[in-house]
Amino acid sequence: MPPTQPPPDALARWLAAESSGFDDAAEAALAELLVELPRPVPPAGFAERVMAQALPASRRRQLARRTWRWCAALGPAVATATLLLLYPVWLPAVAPAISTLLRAASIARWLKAGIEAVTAAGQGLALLASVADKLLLLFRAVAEPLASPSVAILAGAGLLVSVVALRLLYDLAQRDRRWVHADPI
Amino acid sequence: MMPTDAELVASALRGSEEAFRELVVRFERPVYALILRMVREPETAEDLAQEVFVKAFRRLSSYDPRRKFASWLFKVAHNATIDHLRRSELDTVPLAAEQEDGEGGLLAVLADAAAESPAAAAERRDMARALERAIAGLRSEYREAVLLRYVEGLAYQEICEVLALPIGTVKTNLHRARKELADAMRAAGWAPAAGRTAPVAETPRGGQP
Repeated sequence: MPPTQPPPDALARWLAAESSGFDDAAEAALAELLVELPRPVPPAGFAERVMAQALPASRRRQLARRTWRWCAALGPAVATATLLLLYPVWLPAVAPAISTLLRAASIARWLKAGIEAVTAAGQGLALLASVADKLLLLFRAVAEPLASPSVAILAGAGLLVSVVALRLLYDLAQRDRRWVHADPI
Repeated sequence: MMPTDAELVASALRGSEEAFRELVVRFERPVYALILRMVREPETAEDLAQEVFVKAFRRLSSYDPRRKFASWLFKVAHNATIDHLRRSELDTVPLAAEQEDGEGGLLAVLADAAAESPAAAAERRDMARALERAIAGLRSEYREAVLLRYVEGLAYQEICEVLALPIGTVKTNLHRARKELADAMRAAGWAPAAGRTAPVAETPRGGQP
């Protein structure tokens, strides 16, 4: 018998089992019936199209990963080797520029720049400290009422409700892909 | 000896394109068949099935080899199908008979598949078509459960994982789906009468003998 033909008596057995309420027999007969249904076949060349679509992205990712690894491993060595190899070329060009820079600079100017940088950093730190102070004040103001048990209980309950609400929201988002929510037997 | 699905996945993860191709060839029919019976449009089904395999390929590293690969793949297919149905709202729009039977329609595709066996009897073809029609008439959640259970042969626990439903709900859905299918078949004239299952009301369609 060709595989696409449903068994001759499976339908009768299934319908009879359904009518009589024999679940197991009904399941078996229906499975027998359905498994023999002609199974649609994807159009020719489906696997090739999938591979053509899937592989370029994967190859690009692999290539990028490999390139990055090689760059990270060899980059510094190549840069050093290049600098050393081109030493006679770059030193005569760079050395005068560096010496000009050094000649133009004076100790007083370096000192002034250093002091300005330290002052700016100090001001930044002071600003941060004042913000931290205000935050601390805020925390104290919030924490003070929590010292009383009733407020602490209220706050705890609020926190609990928030956690439960978050959990429910998460569940709803997760269930988005379910078809229905039928009552279980 | 044929490599197992888990072995093929491991090879694919190590960069073997051949291993992934083998996985595609192994599962193209069940995935395509499931999606086609859900969306009822061959072109859309092909696009979605491709999308499923591409997604699976990209997220292969998230597959847990302790679980059955087919279940994981069907889960990806389920998500892609449900996303598509929600986007297009096809879920609640039953296809007209002409649309189903027309060139390139679901039943035409199934008829092509049936044509593989030239000796298939007309009565049996009609019964298969009636069954397909009855399955197509089921609610999406029932239809998917029926296909996974009785066509793909998944265990209840695997169906639960694919559909993200508790086992009780899956059993309920299958039970109700079976009842609805049986009612639809009886209504189409396929009730067993005097030991035979010939149709009473069903007439051959689409030029089938």
